[in-house]
Amino acid sequence: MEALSIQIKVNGHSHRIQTLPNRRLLDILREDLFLTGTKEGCGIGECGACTVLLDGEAVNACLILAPQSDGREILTIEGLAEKGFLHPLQKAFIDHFAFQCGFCTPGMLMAAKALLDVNPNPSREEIRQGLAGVLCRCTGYIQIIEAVEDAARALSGIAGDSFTQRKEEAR
Amino acid sequence: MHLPAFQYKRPGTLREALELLSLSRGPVFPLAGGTDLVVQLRKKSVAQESLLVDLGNLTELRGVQLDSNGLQIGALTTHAQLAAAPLIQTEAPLLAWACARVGTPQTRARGTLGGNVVHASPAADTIPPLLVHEAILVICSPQAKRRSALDRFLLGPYRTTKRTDELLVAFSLPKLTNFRYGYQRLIRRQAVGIARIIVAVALRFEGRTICEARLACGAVTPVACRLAGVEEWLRGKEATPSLFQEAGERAGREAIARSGPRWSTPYKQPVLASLVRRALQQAGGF
Ligand SMILES: Cc1cc2nc3c(=O)[nH]c(=O)nc-3n(C[C@H](O)[C@H](O)[C@H](O)COP(=O)(O)OP(=O)(O)OC[C@H]3O[C@@H](n4cnc5c(N)ncnc54)[C@H](O)[C@@H]3O)c2cc1C
Ligand code: FES
Ligand code: FES
Repeated sequence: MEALSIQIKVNGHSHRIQTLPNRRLLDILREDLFLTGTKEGCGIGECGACTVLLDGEAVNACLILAPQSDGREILTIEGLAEKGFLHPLQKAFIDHFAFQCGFCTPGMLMAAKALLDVNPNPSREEIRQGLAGVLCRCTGYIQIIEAVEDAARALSGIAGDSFTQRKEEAR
Repeated sequence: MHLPAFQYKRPGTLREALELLSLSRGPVFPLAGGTDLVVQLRKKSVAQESLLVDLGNLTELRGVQLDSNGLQIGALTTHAQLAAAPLIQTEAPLLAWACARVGTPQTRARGTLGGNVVHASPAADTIPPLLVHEAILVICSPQAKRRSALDRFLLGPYRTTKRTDELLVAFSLPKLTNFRYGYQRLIRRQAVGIARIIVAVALRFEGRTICEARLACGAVTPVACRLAGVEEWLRGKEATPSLFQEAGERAGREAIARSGPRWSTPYKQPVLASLVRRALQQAGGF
C-alpha cells in the first residue's frame, strides 16, 4: 500500500496531507486535523454522527475514503460558527434544549445546515426527511425539529417570530 | 479504525479506468459512491490488497439526457441528482420516487445508480422501476462495448453478468408514452431502512381498458422481476376496483411461486397483494 498526497480545504483552510489510501475522511478530520467535533458512531453510514458537508452536500465521513476527498471542500461543525458568533442553528439548539448527551449534535447541525442551504423555509415533514440520516438516542427529536424551524425563521429574518430572538430580547 | 489494506488508483478517463481493471492481476473493484463498497471493506468481505479503481473523476459518466432513443443516464449519477432531475421526474417518475427513498440524504448524495444495480441487492430500490422501463445497460471493456437488458444482467442476489474487466457506463431507458404510474414501498420503520417489498407499476389505457400493464416487484423474490402472468391477465380488461383486487392476489401467488414458500410467506403474500392493488389504483387514478 502506497501513501499518497491529497489536498483538501476544511473550514476555509487548505491542507496538503500525506495518507495511506485505507483511511477515511473521518480519520483525516479527527486524527490529522484534530477536528474531533465530527463523531464516529456506527462507521457504516447508519447513524449520521459523522455528517459533514462535502462541496455543500451532507455526507457520511465514515463512508468516504481519504483520497476520494482530494480537491474537495469540507465544512465540519468547527466551521459552523463565524468569527466567534454561533450559527443561528447552534443558538436555536441551545434555546430549545435540542441535545442531551450531545453525541448526535454535530451531525444533526450539519444535516440541518445542508437542508436550510437549499430549502430555507422547510415544512416539518421536510425537516424530518432532511434529518432522517442522523439518529438521536436521547431527545426524541421534537426539540431538534423545533430548533431547526426556529433557526429557519431566524435565518430568513422573520423578526419577532423566533423563540431564540424573543429570548434575546427578554435578556 | 483502520480499513484493511488496499491499492488505490483514480484514473482520469474511461479508457485508463478500463485498462487498470483489465491489467490488474489480483482482485479489483470499481469504486463509485462507496456506500456499499466501503461498508464491505470494513466488514473485511473484500480481499486484502484488492485494487480499488475510483471512478470519481470520470465526469462523462454523470448526468441525464433525453434523445430520440429515450433517456440516457450516466452510471455515476447519484440518487440525489436523479430524484431532483426534472427530466427524470417527467419521463421516469417511478425512478425519481425510488431514488428519493434510497437510504438517507447522506447516502443519496454519494450513492449512484450504477452502484445500486451492480451491487444487485434483492432489495435495491432502483431495480423495479428500471425493469418497468425495460432499461438497457451499456457496459464497456477495453475491447468492446455491449448492451444488455437489465433482467438478463441480474443473475441472482448480488450476482450479475458483469465481468471484472467491465464497467457499467450508462443506462438507456426507451421512452414510455401515455403511461400512468404507481409505486409502493414497504419498510420496517418509517425513516430509513432496507425495503421489505417494492412494487412499481405502469399502465397504458384506452378509455378505461388497460392496453398494456407493466408490473415489477422487488425484495420479495431472490431477484427483482416483472410479474408477466399478471401483466398478461390485465391486458384488454376494464379497470375496476375488483379487477385490481384480483390482480393483487394473483401477483402474490405469482411472486411466491417464484421465490418458493419461506418462513415469511404467510406475511408477505397478502401484503404484496395489497401493495400491488394500491399501486394499480394509484396508476389508474382511483
Ligand atoms: C445507510 C445506508 C442506507 C442504504 N439504504 C438503501 C436503500 O434504502 N435502498 C437501496 O437500494 N440501497 C440502499 N443502500 C445501499 C447503497 O447506498 C446503494 O446500493 C448505492 O446506490 C450504491 O451505490 P455506490 O455508488 O455507493 O456504489 P459503490 O459502493 O461504490 O459500489 C457498489 C458495487 O458496485 C460496483 N460498481 C459501482 N459502480 C460501478 C460501475 N459504474 N461499473 C461497474 N461496477 C460498479 C462496485 O465495484 C461495488 O461492487 C444503503 C446504504 C447505506 C450505507
Ligand atoms: S459513523 Fe458515519 S454514519 Fe455512523
Ligand atoms: S443528544 Fe444524545 S444522541 Fe442525540
